[in-house]
This record gives sequence, C-alpha cells and structure tokens, in this order.
Amino acid sequence: MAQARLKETQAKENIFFYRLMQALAKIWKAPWQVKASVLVMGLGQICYGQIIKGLIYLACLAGLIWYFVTTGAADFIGFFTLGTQQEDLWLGIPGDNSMNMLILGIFAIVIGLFGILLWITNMKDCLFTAEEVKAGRKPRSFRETLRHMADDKFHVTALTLPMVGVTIFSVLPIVFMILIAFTNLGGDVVYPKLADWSFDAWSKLLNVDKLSGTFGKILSWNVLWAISTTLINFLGGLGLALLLNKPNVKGKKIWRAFPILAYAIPGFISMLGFKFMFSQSGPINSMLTSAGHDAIFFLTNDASAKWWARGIGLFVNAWIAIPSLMLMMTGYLGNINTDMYEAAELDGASKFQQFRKITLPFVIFSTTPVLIGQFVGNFNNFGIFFFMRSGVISNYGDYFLASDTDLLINWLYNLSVDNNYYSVGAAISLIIFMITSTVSLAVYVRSNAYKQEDTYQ
Amino acid sequence: MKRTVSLILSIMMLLWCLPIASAESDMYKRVTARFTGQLEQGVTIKVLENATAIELGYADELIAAFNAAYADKGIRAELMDIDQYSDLATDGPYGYGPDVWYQANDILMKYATKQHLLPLPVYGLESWELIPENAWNAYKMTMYDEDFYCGIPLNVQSGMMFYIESMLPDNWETEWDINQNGTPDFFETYTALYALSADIQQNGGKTKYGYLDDLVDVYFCVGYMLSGGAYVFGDNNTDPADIGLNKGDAAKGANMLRQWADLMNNTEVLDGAFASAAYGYLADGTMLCTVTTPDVRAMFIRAMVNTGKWTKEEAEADLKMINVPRLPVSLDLTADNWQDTITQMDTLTMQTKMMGGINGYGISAYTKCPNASLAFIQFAASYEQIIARNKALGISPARSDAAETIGATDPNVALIFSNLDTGYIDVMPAINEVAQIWTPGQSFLIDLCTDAFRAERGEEELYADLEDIQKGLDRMVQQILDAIFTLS
Repeated sequence: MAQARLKETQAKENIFFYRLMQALAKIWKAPWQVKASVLVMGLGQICYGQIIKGLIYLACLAGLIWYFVTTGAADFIGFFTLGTQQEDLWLGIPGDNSMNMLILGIFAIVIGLFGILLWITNMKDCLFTAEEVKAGRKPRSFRETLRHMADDKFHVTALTLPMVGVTIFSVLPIVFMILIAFTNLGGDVVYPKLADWSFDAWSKLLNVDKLSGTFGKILSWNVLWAISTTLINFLGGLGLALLLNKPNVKGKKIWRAFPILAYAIPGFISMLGFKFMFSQSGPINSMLTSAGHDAIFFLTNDASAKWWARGIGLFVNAWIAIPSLMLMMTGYLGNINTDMYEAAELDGASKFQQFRKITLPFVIFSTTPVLIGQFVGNFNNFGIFFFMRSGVISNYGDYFLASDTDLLINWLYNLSVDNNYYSVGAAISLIIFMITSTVSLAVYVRSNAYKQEDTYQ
Repeated sequence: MKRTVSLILSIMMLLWCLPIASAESDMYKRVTARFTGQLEQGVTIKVLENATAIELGYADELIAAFNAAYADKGIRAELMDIDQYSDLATDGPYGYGPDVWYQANDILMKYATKQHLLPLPVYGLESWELIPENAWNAYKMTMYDEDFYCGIPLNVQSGMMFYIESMLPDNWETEWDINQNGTPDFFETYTALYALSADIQQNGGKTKYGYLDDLVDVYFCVGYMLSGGAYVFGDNNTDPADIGLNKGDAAKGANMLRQWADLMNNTEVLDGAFASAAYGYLADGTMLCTVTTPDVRAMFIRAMVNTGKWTKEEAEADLKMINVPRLPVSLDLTADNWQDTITQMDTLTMQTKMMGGINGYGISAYTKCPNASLAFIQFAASYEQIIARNKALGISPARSDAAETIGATDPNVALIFSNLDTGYIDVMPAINEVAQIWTPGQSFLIDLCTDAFRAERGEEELYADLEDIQKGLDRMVQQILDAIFTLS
C-alpha cells in the first residue's frame, strides 16, 4: 500500500517536471511574439492584435512594478529583517514596527505570487494564441475571450473573487498567526521595540517545565471537555427533539419555545447569570446556607472547586447549545420516512431497536459535519470559563498563568493578551489548529456523510 | 483646629516641594519639544475618564466646563467610552485610543515605560510646585539617564474606613471609648474592631456584622503584609527581580486576614463581587464598617438614599470616612486585650500601612494635539476643578491648595497627605511588572481565606500555621516571578 502511494507520488513528480520541461521547450520553439510576452506581459497579445487583453496585462504589469518600486520591495525585505531602526516615540525619531512589517511582508509575498501566476497565465494565453495562428485560425477577439471565460472557463471566473477574498480575510491572518510563532514578539519585545525571527517560543513551550507541564494538564482537560460537551449537547438536543416529537405530547409549540428562549438570550448574558447564581453571594449558596448546609465553593479558587466549576461549565454550555441542536434535530427527525418505523414494528422491533437501527444512524449521518463543527467549537470554547472564572490562577498543581478550568484557548488569551506573550500564544494556537484540523478531517473522511455523500439513508 | 490643620498642611506642602529640582536639561527640552504652547486648531480631544466619574456625572460636567472655557480657542473635548481603545500599546500606533487618559499611576506607567505616554513639561505647569514630590514620583521614570514625569497627579487613593454614624452601637460612648477621646475605640485599633465584630456576631446589634470586607482584594489586603515589613519590589519599588511580599513578618500579616475570615465566617468575602455589594451592605445594616477608596464615597451615599431612610443631605452627614485602625505590633488580632491596645496604644499598636495609588492624567504619545491635550489636563487639574471633583466624588486631592481648602473642613484629607508623606501609604510601583502581582496575589488570598472553612467541612487545612502561610507566600512570589521572567 505504502509502496503504491510512493510510486504514485513519484509519477506525479515526474509528470510535473515533464510538463515543466515541455512548457519551456514550447516557449523556446514558439514564435517571437510569445518570447516578447515572456519578457513583457501582454506584449505578445498586442503583437497578435489582441489589443485590449494585451493592455490589461500591461496595466497589471505596470501596477505590479509600481507597487514593488514604491513599497512592495521594501515590504518584502522588511519581512526578513522585521525592522532595522527602532522608533523613539518621545524624541520623534521614526522607526520600524515589526508587527506591521510582518503583515506588509506577507502581503508583498502574496502580491508577488499573484504576479507570477498572472505571468504564467499570460504565457499560456500567448502560447495558445500562437498555436491557433499556426493552425490557421484567427486569434480570439476580446469579446470571444470574455465569452470563453463566461462559458468554458466559468468555474475559474466565478471562483476567482471568492478565492481572493478567502486569501485576504482567512489565509493571510492564519499565515500571520503561524509566523508570529516563529518570532520573539511578546513580553518585553513589543512595539516600539523590534522583533526578530526566532524559535524561542517553541523551545520554551517544549523545554520550560512550567509551560510544558501546564500545557499537558490543560490539553488533557481540553480534550475531555470537547468530547464531553459534544456528546452531552448532541444527546441532549436529540433527546429533547425526540421527546417533543412524540405525538402524545400536548402543547408542543409552547414546550419548544422554552429552549428557544434560552437560545435567544445572548450567551454571555446567560454565562454572567450563572456566574452570579453560583457565586458565594449568589442565590444557590444563599439557599444552601438557609437550609443549614455549608456554602459550596463552586467557582472560587479552591481545589474543591475544580470539578464543581468544570461541571458548571458543562451545564452552562449545554444550556446554551442544546436548544439549537434540538431545533436542528427536530428538522432531521421530520425527514425520516415513517414507513420504516411501521415496517420495523411489523417485524417486531422494540422502540429502542427502532431508535438504534433507524433514528440514530439517520441522525448521525445527517449531523456528522455539524458534530465536527460542534467539537471544534467546543474545543475552542473561550467564553464559558472566561466569563465564569476569569482572574483565577490555580494555587496547586503548578499551573502557569492558568486555572484548572482553563482550556487551551483561555490559556492562550492569558498569555498573549493579558501578559503580551504573543509568540508563545501563537505557538499554542498553531498546536490547537493542528489538533482540531487533524481530528476534524480524520473524523470527516471516515464518516458515512463523506463516504456516501450521494446516498439517501 | 481647622487653622492648625491648614498650617500643618501648608508647611508640609512647602517641605515636599523644596527638594524637587526644576532643571530643564537639553534632553528634557528635546522630549518635550512638541509642547510648543500653540493650541492645535479645530481639534477634538478624546478623554478617557474613570467609570465612577462618568457614572456620577462629574466627567460630563468637566467636559462641558472645558468646552465652555475654550469655546473661543478652537478646541473642544469629548468623552470616550470607558472600554473603548483603552490599550494604547495595540490601538495607539494605529491612531485609536484617547488623547488624554485618567487612570491610576500603575496603569498609566505601564504604558509610559514603553513610551506610549508622553513625558510632560511639568516644570512649567502651575501644579508643579503645588503637588508633593511623593505624588510626582508615582509618575516618574528614567530614560536617557534622566528622570521624566509622564502624568499629572490628581488625587491620592488609599484604603479608608467607611461607616455610618447612626449605625454605631448605642453603648459605644460608655463601653467603647475608654480613652474618652470621642472616637470609638474599635476605629482606633484593629484588635478592638475584631473584638467588637466578634461581640456583634455573637450577641447581635444594630448591624449583623461589625467589620466586613472583601478579603481577597490584593490592593487593600496587602497592607497587612506591608505593615509586617513586606514590600512589593525592592530598590524603592523599581527592581522586579526582588519581590518582597513574602519578606519580614508577611506571614504574620497574612495570618490576620485568615483571622478575619475565621471570624466573618461568610464565604461572600472570598469573592471579588463583594466590593460592588458593599455599598448596599453598609446602607442596609448588614455591616458596620468596611474599607475602600475615598473616590467611591458617592456610591455609599447613593446606596443610603436608595434605602429611603436618608435624604442625600442626611446621608452626606451620616456617612463617615476615617483612617484605617492601627494594627497590633504582635501582628495577631487576638493576642492582646483590646482595652490594652487603647490604653497602651503607642507600645502595643502601630500605624497600618496601606497600598495606595496616585490617580492622574497622562497624554498619549500618539496624540495629534499634544498642546490642546496639555491645556485640557491643566484645566482638569486646576484648583476649581479639583474642588469640583472632590465635591462630586469625594476624592483626596494631590494639589496642596485644594487639599488645604478641603482639609479645613475634612481632616481626612490632611490625614491622607500625612500618610503619604510618612510612608504609610505605599504608592503602587511605577514599573510595568506591577501588572503581574494582582492575579497570583488574589489567588493566594482566596486560598488562604478559604482555609477558614476547610476544617469544619472535614477538609485538610492548608494554612494551619505560620510556616504554611509562609510557604503559600513563597509560592505566590514564585508565581509572580514566573509570570515576569519565565517567558521574557
């Protein structure tokens, strides 16, 4: 199996180099117009009489040159240096801002890659035109090119704009975050001080006992939390939907409205409400003490509060998430063919067997992508413990700037926002990204929802 | 009496101000060069004030007064939302954030040390000679081998004891004033206050508790450790590598907090949320007294009026703010007979040290209108505005002339100045690293005071003796050191 994959990879590499060599040979043998286009984008098209297209390419080239001459080249160099002159805000001495230089450097690289892509399309286009002319056909007019883009190449035309958007708004911030993890930004090295490229964050994360110890403890709780919350919310939502789906339940609309109310109230309001309820001066402790019981340390910084606080977190998260899942499950349950239940009943299947063999597989098939989203969302559930237990550092167990309820995302916040340790925070977020993306992909590609995408269950 | 207070205050101010040199070096001229004195025309100064000033309406009054005064000079000011762009380090470079910022010195200096606040041309300001050196030092930092001041001190913040006079025990004059000085003994020493609180909790009284307070607020509680010889940072609060919160008799100081937690037997005091409930608790008779800063006096007044038992004027007259009681030299609230601490006050007790802060104004290094901003600060720090701020918020001014005026009718102002001068107010360090003391400190205090409840629940006590408390303090200091140095 592994050997087959290796051969497949080698074959692909061979094809790539073969195609590259072929393309270079084609350009070498191509007419002078193509070679002109290699040197100056759009020139070949103009020589073939495709004036508008040629001018557009030329304009793009001019724009690229203007950008790189005015700022792009400096930004590109800045990406590697991250600044050479420190700014002095008091004396008014201008200087570099490493964070800005990193962002602008990434942007310059993206623009550069875009330029290369444009240059390749320009050559391919010119080669295509040369072959058309060689075959005795007329080069495409601008109108024909537009028609071709709206027809044969519609997928490219339609996807270009979203791709640009995704690159700017999603890919660039992720790349920026990843790169921060390889600098020494943070702590004392913040603007106006200059940063540098460094593996310090990773080295500290792996070698500083306090960090690695805390990381291990938080990661294990984080995994437990993500699995528990996803299961609780899923089963809670399904259970509630099944309950309210039963024909003998009266006043379904009213019953359904209650969970929706919990869903409609902004999450942080619910969290703050629960925080107050479980606080030392809150109503729950007040009732307990009135009844002669000791007050319970639900959320304070006491070792006994660890599992109370974790349990309250699970409960509050379920309170907020179950209603939306219930609504979704209600929709899915309505789509199950009732004939299957009738047939099962005729075959003598019990209610539980019907649930296990018909309802559950159907719901799991339909909700796998949502469950993956829920898992990732719960893994990175920042709000619950930020609102319920902020400002707590556990006094036992050697937690470093964290409490026993903090998830990785909360720890990341403590490190990067509260304490300015940006690079360590970025390294942790990269690890979170790797964990969640690996788990999500692994579960998704193994699920029936992916394998049998076109199957109706 | 008033004259004497005024005289003492004036002499004190004079003595304070003398040692300050006002040499304007070349570097001083260079860093303050953008303060040309020429007001930028057509600008709007964005001002970030504190929450209480906004809530009680003083901030609006200040802005309105400034805009009226400068209407013909082409500048105006406006308030920013309290949470809007309050991180100069991240927002400032991109043009966001306030031009002028009112905050405690530790917050302002956190930004100043990274040059996000401008050094001010203090030597030319009217308030330079009117504000004592101790207060100016809260905004002093060294750069280019010279000292610069990055804020103008406005008011002194430190813990004061609040109580309602009509809530005092009926028998206080006969039973709790053995030195016959007209001041209840339980407000003179903590030992007596502890005894009164125990008496009220056992036998009942006008209030449910005597002294009740948030025991996990580092700012107020660290005073017990400071009184025992601890300190925040070494080398006059400038050396972050030398954290002294576990030094001296800090463990004994911390043990007094545990004693209070034992006595109060109320888990609410383990929660930071207590601070906001305290106004109502004082007004509704839950407790006789509590310790907080002078600038929230108006919140107590409001809570008292809300009960319907007081009019505003009555509440103003009935609410008292006094210096915190003296601590026992033994650093044990139950070691001495409380009467002895009154009759032998000089030998058995010592003045309590409190952490304090100097609130003031700073100017953002990213401001486009430094001169207009400076004009605003000068206006807000003027005698008239300080008097107005005191009336609205009950602040204790840093200006000597305003302190003298207010001190003539309010001896507490003189007292706060005296505490600052004699070192009984330990001003929060003006270095960036001070930000790292709060969370580990609070975590330790919660853990320490929770111990009061562990035994009765059958759990193991973690701070059963001074040795355990010392270990807890050592761990807290290590956490602070870790937070400062592990990743830097």
